[in-house]
Amino acid sequence: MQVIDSSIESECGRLRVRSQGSGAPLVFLHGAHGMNTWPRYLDLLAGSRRVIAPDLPGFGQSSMSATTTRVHDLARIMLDLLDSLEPTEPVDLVGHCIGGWIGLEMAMRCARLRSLTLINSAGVHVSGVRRGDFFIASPAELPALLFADPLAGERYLQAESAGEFESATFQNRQMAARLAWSPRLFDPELAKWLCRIRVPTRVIWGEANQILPPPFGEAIAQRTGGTLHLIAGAGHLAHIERAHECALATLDQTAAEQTTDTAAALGVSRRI
Amino acid sequence: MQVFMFHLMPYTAMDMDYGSKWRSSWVVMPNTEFDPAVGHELYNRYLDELELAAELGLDGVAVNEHHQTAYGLMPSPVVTAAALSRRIKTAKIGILGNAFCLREHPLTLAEEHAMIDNITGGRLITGMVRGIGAEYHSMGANPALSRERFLEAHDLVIQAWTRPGPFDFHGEHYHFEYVNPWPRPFQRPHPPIWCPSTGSIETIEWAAHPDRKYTYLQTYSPVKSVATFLNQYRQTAERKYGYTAESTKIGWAAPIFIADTDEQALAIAKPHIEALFNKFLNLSFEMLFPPGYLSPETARRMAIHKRDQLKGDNVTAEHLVREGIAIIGSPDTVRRKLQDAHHLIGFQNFLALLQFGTLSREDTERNIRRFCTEVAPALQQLTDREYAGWSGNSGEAAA
Repeated sequence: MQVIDSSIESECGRLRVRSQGSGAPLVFLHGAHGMNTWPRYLDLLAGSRRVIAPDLPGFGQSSMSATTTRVHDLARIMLDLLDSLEPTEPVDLVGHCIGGWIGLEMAMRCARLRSLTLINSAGVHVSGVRRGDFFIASPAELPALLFADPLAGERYLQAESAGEFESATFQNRQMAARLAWSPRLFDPELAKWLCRIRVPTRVIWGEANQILPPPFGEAIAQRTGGTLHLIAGAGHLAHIERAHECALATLDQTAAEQTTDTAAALGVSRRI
Repeated sequence: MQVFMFHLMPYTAMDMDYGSKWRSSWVVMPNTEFDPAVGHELYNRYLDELELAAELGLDGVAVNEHHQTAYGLMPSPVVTAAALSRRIKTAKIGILGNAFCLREHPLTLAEEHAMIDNITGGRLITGMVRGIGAEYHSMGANPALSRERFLEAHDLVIQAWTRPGPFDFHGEHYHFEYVNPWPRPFQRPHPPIWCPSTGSIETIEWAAHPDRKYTYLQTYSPVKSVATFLNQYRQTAERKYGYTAESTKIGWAAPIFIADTDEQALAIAKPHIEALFNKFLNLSFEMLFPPGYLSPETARRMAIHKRDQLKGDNVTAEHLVREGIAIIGSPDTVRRKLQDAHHLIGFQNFLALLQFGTLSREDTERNIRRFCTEVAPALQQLTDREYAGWSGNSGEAAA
């Protein structure tokens, strides 16, 4: 299915927005590592949904500006983007890692989301849990850090960062550091606000996540009143490593809100 | 020429086979490896060494800042400089440098530097640096904001030293309602500011700006690169800013070791200088260049060229001598090499790293005595008259 590449103007300049499929809109916000290649996970979702995935400000092919220094700045720009892309229809929002953190910031401030799905989301902190550091890891160490299966991780990271994507990879690392270097991948204020999130929330978590281990998912689920869905054999990039299972869990959540038959939606996705 | 002794204060008792356990002597090597009994001895030994160099007639001594590493035991060079400030009576004391932007409160450093400047009656030189990338891992400061914080911390400190207080300061990163430090610096308008760097055009352009004219100091570089970057300073002043830079605004820092003959000097220095480059300076690319510390494009180019060089265990003393990164030899050889370099490049500041790596107390003391009595006096005589002059082309000195 064709991925349509377009751009839209925002307060921080040009944003690249890719979309695929048709149906009720679902917005996906990528994580700290950016999204140079279109993942199979989104292909699966696009079987039944119109998937809209921007490159976040400062990542990939999107611009940044002096106003994009913090995660809540990106949340504001993404809320503006929702208003211009889908001014009326309710939107299902899905975010991974920093994208999940942005999703939390958006949900706190906006009533028009229909659901929030968080995959290995950043944003909150749990004390006393040992974590890996993807900023200090060498490229050779990253696959084992980010994936349950390092070989699969190596293949993915190679495709995602080599050749034409090399520049974007360095750009993405800089932007991720700008947003999340310290405190590392969280805002100490955010946890207090999560009780204000009113939209149904599903938390999807890689059981083998070393960057944000499962207790982080439990904390987010508890604070948002959401449900936690653990994915076996998946690390921090669970939606890459277990695309099908994450897509099922995502559609299960969003379909429940849509009152359409989940199985039917999945049937579409299986035909991809 | 002003001649200084520079010290890194390494933890010489480090287990040199740490590589099998930890990837670096920076950031991740556990501090249980640090023995305070050794620390006590080393700090006092190193302070003695700097004081000896000052007694033997050098123009100054210099210390620097690094965090959470066996490479250098001076997380606060202010403490070192303060310890020296009462014992060293006439020589200058350089803090080269202090990373003001690593602090949430750069004003504390502005106050401390002003104190030392008062205690010494105006013998302080303030070095302003961003700190190397590893400090951003160790101190939690955001590397992607490092340059803008550096510039803002600089503005805050200069204002604190020169504007009548109290005044308020509100930047992007630093906010103060009352900037009004007591004491003010002894020197007017403030202590001289130096910018040590391993070679950055951006730093050179910033330092050479007519509003600043700060001294640029090239460190850890082959003599060819020293010429390139120091000439770049002259060229930037001339072409970009329209003034002629004084030779006092450029300097070079290099490891030096002297013995009776070239062969002897190399034989003694070899294991210690190799320990410095291969063990103490063993940093991964990700530690040295955390994301955002360099622009993404510069980081990408550096990754291509530098990643392999950073693997450690691959530098020999012979290579360091050949490239002119370290100057090792008889007094005549060392003197001649420095005179030749001065003839071509014209720097009016030289910093000798007279202790490096695991070099022992005895070898260091001998090295200090020989450098200060057999080499430094000849260097101190050098003026612009012995400098061949600048040809006007960056990277090329006049013949």
